[in-house]
Amino acid sequence: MSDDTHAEHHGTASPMISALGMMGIMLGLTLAVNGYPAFWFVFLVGLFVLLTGFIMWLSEYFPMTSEENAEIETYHPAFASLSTRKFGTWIFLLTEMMVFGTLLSAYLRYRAAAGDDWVPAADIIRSHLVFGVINTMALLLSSLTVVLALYAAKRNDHKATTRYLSCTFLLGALFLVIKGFEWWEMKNGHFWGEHCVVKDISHHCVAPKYEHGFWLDTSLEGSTFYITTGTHGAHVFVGLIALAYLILKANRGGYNEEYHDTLELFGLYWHYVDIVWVFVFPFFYLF
Amino acid sequence: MSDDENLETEAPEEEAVEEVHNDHDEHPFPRIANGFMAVFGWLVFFTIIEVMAILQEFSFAVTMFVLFSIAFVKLWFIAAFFMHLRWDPPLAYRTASVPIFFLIVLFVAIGLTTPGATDDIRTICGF
Repeated sequence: MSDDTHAEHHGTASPMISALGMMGIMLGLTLAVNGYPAFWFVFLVGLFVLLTGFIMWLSEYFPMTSEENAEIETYHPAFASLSTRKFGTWIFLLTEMMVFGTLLSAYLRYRAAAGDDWVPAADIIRSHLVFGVINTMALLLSSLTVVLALYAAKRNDHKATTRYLSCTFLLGALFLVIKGFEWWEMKNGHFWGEHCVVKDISHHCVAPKYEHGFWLDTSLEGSTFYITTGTHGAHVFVGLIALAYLILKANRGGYNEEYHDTLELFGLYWHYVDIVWVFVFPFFYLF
Repeated sequence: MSDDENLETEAPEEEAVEEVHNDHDEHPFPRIANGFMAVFGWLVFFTIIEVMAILQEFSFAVTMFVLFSIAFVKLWFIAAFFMHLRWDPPLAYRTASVPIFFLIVLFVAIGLTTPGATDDIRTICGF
């Protein structure tokens, strides 16, 4: 798509090859576990293609000099008002929206089908709702600190940038620690007393089936709760890994009024994780 | 150079294309952070309202309406301000709106389908 008036395009097939590989993996896995074992072959081919694309990308990226990087087109004529990095980040977030949309719609489906038999995780967590509220506040506050870090970078205030990013890291870590504690307590049935297995909002006993704890394989309620909150927690964890890199770079003065795109793009991801929690919290903790 | 110009400056490696794309400054980013503090305050306020609404034991319909309404208000606050969609060019929020169609399909066509539809993929795919 590039022409003489634009900088050089990547010209690499690696992303397309990787995407095809991922498609093969998903298609093969989905059909193979649903009664079509022959599709394990498609799964394996997809895995091979994905790894091929990934290795191709590494072999192209690492030998590249800074000058060559500078030549890569940062604005594509088809979407000239956004940088390719930002546009790509949004496309990535769209796929993430579908991941959590799938989880939440499945949860809705199962819950609607179960009717009154469904004992929501919210009834189990109710007596310890404070953990969910603290986690909500932690994520909201961490979104604010990411924005403030970006501002600090634009002011060339390296110390403040590092400080705000470190706060974000600590808040994200706090979220995971509380989440881990909450899971442990629920798994072992510590959230309810000996005399009543699970109490609803009016302190009525509602679910003797959780006498021995509430875990992934306890029931559909458990599966949907742990898979959804676990997937969200995994996203927080990945964000923390990225944050560790950002903190190290910010500490060396890596972000300033000219170089701050990475912080903004990371912020998009982190805010997206926050948005997911905005829906997970009422779905699983309140109702 | 004014503060606005400072805030909108792109990285040096992008200068090579700046002559061609001199309209690429993506948004007039707000110069003060106080507004974001206010957004955070509103998000906390709505979270408190959310929790209080649950403790009131409303009916199912009212509870769902309150929870979804507040969740979408919080979504708007985060997307518009923290994710800068308020200041980004239309392409950004148009792109962000793309999955809405697919999410509607997910929630309406799968989330609210007949029992068993999600248990067997062959039922969904029609083979």
